[in-house]
Amino acid sequence: MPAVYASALIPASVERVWEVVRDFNGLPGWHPLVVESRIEAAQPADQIGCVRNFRLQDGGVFREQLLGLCDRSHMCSYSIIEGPLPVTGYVASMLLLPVTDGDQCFVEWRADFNCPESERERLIKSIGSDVFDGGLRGLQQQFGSA
Amino acid sequence: MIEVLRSAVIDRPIEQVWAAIRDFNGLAAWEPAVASSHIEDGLSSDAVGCVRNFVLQDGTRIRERLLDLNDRDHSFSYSIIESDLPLRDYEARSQLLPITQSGQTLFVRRARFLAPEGREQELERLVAVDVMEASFAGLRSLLKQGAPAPAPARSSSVAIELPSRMIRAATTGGPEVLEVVDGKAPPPAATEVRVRQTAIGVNFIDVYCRRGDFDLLGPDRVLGFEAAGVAEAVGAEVRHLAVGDRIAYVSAEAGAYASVRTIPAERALRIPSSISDEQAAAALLKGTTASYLLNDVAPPSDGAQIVVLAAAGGTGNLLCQWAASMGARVIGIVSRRDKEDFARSCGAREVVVSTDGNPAAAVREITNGRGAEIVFDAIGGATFAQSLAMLAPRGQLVSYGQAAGAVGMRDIDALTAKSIRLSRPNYFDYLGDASSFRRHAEKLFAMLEQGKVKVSIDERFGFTDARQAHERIESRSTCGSLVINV
Repeated sequence: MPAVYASALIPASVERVWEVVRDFNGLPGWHPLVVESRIEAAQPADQIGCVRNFRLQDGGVFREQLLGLCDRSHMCSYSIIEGPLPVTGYVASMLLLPVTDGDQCFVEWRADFNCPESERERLIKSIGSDVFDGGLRGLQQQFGSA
Repeated sequence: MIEVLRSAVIDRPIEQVWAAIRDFNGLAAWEPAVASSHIEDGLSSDAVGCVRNFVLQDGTRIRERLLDLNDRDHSFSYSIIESDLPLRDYEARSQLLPITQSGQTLFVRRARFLAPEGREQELERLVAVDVMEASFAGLRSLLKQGAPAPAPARSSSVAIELPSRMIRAATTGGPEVLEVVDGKAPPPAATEVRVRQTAIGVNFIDVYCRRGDFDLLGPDRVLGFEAAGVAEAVGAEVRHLAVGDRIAYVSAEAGAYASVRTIPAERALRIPSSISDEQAAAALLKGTTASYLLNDVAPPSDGAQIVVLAAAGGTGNLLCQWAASMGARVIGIVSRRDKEDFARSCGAREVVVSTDGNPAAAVREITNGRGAEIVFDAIGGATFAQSLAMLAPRGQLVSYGQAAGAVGMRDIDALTAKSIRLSRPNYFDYLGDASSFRRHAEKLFAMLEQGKVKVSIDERFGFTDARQAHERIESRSTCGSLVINV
């Protein structure tokens, strides 16, 4: 099963970063690829099971379902239920950890999925760099880092 | 339940950091709070369930069990199973996470525990600041990241005297003359190291000094020549040791029966991680003795029949193992029947109990009337003639000790009958210079690491029980080494 992992340091406290990341409907606010998002069926964005329906700059539309959200461990996980990527069983999670030695926040973003073997390398690369690393850089910008 | 989390970015790739922290027994190398550690029961430090037994700088003892170790997650967790500190139900976890964007590593340490009422803050601070936060600095310096520039003083306490408890022989005499006194360990000079000692080796030479057989004690009359511990401060010109290293030494001057001691750094070397402080203190003087006797004084030819007297003793058992690994056929002489099995386990093919009759006749019988090529005799006076009688023509008697008293006046004409070579070596003529000492010490550590020689610690004594340790070594009842714990 292919897996993708990316992580970075954000120059802000865990609490402040979590406020931003916790909003399952908040991608357009910080992810450079996402232009708009809504939660289906008028559910709150922290309702486990809710679905976010968002559109990328290139027009691609994704539907992702919130699987887990934990304010204590600062973790959320979700799956893709519909989208343009040739993946199945795509489950991703995002975890924040405080860096107590110098007030920063560590963010890791990971995903496991299945895909045709021929697509494997391309998907790992594009999810890793465009979606995850690009998103982490967007978060860093939110908090005033290059 | 108190929960503590501390985390820090380490400016090294995750595999490098993992290599540094993975060894469950290696904490003394990067946790400044820890003075020394060993794994109990000879287990490997990555065996889940193993127990590390360590001492903090202030003398606090803690035993922790490894609960899990995961090379994929770069994590391990452990619990305290016994401690001088009132940390109850203490469980902790250390984990590394890669920071892919920068190639650095996040080190996360967590602990949960219960503390007695009123001491929560104090203990939380101890765990969070003194242990966890201090360990980040220790790890960075171990990985040579932001290490302090070499300065004359490589320890905060380098310029001051430290109090040291010492054991001295008040006068010459029996074990009853030993007493604990308060002294000082001076700051190390440029070529010295100050050692916070954890384990002290007990040797017959200590008994000789106490009895007055040898005049080797300084004015303070403190005994002892070998110990292990942690380098607490290192002189400016010392290159082979760093503050925090676990080290062991054999000193040319007496004074090792102490809690803190300053010694010439050239007599000390780092202890490999697979060898505990206790093992090093139990084996360094005795094992380097075996090494110089077998490599320099009387190397046995392959298949040679050799005799080791006191084969179960501290040096004798190491001599047997080492000689056997060189291909010698070892005949061990022991004083009591209950030591026979131990001597055999140390590689003696044949064991003769000296009190059973005539050991020389027994050796001649075992060697088909020829006699042995080498006899190693550390007993001295009483056994000299008997050892000569055990030898084959052109054999060599190595008289390297005098546990039962001085060898005294002997008629060298007695050597003629069999063209006997006689050696009466003393340790410091062979290992007095630092390079010889370190060469033999490194040989010994290699033998220990390869499992060719094992250290047997017969009994451990508390610092105030040195008298019992001397009574024990003189009782001729030991199998292996005796160690005094600090």
